[in-house]
Amino acid sequence: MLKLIKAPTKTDLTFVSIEGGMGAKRHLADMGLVPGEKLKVLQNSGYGPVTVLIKGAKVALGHGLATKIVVEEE
Amino acid sequence: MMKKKQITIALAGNPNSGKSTIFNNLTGARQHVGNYPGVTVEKKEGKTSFQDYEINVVDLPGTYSLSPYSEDEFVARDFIVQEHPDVIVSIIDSSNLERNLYLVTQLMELDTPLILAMNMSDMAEKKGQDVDYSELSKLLAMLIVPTIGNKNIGTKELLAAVIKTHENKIKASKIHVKYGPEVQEEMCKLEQILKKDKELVNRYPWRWLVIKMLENDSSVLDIIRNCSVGQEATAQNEKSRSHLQAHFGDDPEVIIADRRYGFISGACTQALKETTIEERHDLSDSIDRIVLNRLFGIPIFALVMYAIFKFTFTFSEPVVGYFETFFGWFGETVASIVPAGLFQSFLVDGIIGGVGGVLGFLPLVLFMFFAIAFFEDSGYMARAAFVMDRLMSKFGLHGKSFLPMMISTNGCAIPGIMATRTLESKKDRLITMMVVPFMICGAKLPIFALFIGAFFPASYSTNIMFLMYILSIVIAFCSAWLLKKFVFQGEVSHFVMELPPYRVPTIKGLLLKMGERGWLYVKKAGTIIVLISIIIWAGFTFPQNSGVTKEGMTDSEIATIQLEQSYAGKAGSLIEPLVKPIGMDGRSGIALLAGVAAKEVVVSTFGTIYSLGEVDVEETETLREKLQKDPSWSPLKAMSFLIFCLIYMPCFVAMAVFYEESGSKLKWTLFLMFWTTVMAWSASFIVYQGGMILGLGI
Repeated sequence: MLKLIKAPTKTDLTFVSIEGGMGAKRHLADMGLVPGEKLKVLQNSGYGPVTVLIKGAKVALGHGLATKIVVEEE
Repeated sequence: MMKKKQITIALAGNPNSGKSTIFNNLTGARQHVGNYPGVTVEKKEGKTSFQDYEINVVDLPGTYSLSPYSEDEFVARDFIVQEHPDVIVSIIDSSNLERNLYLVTQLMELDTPLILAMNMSDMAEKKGQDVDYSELSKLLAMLIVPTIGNKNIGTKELLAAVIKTHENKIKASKIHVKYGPEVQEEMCKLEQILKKDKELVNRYPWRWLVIKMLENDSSVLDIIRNCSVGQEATAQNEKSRSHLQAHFGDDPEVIIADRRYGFISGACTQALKETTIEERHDLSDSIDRIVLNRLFGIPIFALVMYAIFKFTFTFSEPVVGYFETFFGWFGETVASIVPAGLFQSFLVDGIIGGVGGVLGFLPLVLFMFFAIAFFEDSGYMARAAFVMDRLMSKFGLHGKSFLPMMISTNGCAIPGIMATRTLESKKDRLITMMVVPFMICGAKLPIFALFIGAFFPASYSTNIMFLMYILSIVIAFCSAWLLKKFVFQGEVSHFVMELPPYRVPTIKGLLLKMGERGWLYVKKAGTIIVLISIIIWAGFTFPQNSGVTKEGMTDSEIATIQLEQSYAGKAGSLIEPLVKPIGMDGRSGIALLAGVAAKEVVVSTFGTIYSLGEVDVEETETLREKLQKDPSWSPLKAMSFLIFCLIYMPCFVAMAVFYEESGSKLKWTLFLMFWTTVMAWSASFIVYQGGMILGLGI
């Protein structure tokens, strides 16, 4: 298990959970991110937002948010 | 003739799924469309006839779910849930089926008849997606129409499906997502309580209320708290939620979302003939790897903006020349037909001098709008917001706030202020709204073109314009930082933004957009600017000959005295002490003051003043040339003037919209006026006085 912000570009991940922020949890679920969902890091420079592929859509997640998202490497 | 039956349909769907394009196809309207999320932030209505129905079509802002986070999503949710449209047309991006169907599963929880428009079906096919429409239609219990919005394919079929659904009353409520026995049991308990309040369940579909309660949707919880069974329902909901939490070890909203996705994935497995969907994001990914690069991202954005200005100035320059010459010739011709006197002056100096000055820059504005349309339709807008996020977070805002600022540059601050509705945090929204007017909108553009053209060599014009653009961003960011630090303290909200796929804009789409915005510019010139030009002309014309004219004075001296002794001239000398320290005279002061009505008026006012001051009407100098020849100006003064124009108070209409969007806060509207003007004055003061000290004031 690791934080999304630590996941390098091009890794395939499974979403586990998000720490804190109640609103963010449902917000991410609305975008397709529920526990067990696969996602792929498209770009993560460790600096600024991270782009991920969720259900075929390219989504930018802010740096702060990415530090709270827990994922598992495939 | 029989009277047509009337129905209302609502278009709902995720952001950037092409709702406005379908709306335009249905109603023949020219609603603004673009390839970035949040183009539509307000509901838009239009009408169409089909068979013996008159259909009122309502286009809604995009939303990912029926739990709203931002103002635009509230607009969509409230309409869908409270206004009871006869049919909801759910528009989805077929190339991204599963995520888009998520909203559909929530719409299925309402009692409203529902149909599905599978938009961008060509893109989905290209990806290798083969949908069994009749199977999917059975699984979701609703009619499905494949559409291709940008080619206007499927529009008639969609209307036919709407009528069929309306007449057969195919209720969407036939099929629901199965949330499992535990959730269902809690739903039943809540249902029984809510149904005691007849008024409540008449207004809202109970099923939707119950699920949103379990999902902890704060806006629904507020509705419940205020109903007659509020206490009981709230208490039960807390019990139910903690029971589910304990049972599943996760929040109920996550379980519910998971079940919805499960339902969708089940339906897709059955209805998709081929499951060999390749995710072909290669090209898009490669572009993004470059444009979103942490080192190159901002330089690339700067380059794009520079290219837009370069394109605009380079290609419009000769055409602007023709336009200016034309208006000069036109004035001269009118002067030769109409006998000299007040009426001639009214036509030549007031109207042609004023409005002609503004219309002369029409080509420039059109070129700019064309370039900007390319920028909007390509998909790069969202990337620019992404790139700026890093920088903006240092100033207390996130990248999404950059979209409204860009929209302001793309045409007008008003849609920019409206676009702040997509921001979730109220404080961020207010801050963004306050800095959006600093951007160079289409109305400020002619002021810059006029002064840059008059006082700086042509080879520098793009550079100076670009510098002004950078300055507007710097000022906006610094203001945001100050506001965040001293006025609206609070945490930075989450930044979540979908990056739409890149698309090659169509020439037709670009020309339509350019025409649409260009027409607004012309319309404004033909209405408000004519009106203000007349007022300005009258102000400088009356009272007539009040000055002391002595024998032997030249015509030009008489004209100067007339300008000085007129009402507007006297008003100008009153405000002159205020603007003198920033290098301006009373006339510029009047132009700036009048510019609050609409920024183009700054240009039209100079047009009138210089036309009045001109003795020989036969001479056809352009306004730029007249300014250039006026010894009271210098490049430094011009620069100081431009900086003032860049920053000072927004136009009336923008302030009215700000007032409205800020929640009718007079306090903030007055603050905005004061703050921007003080900032403008200070910046111009520094530039002008600094320049004088450095000896640049020649």
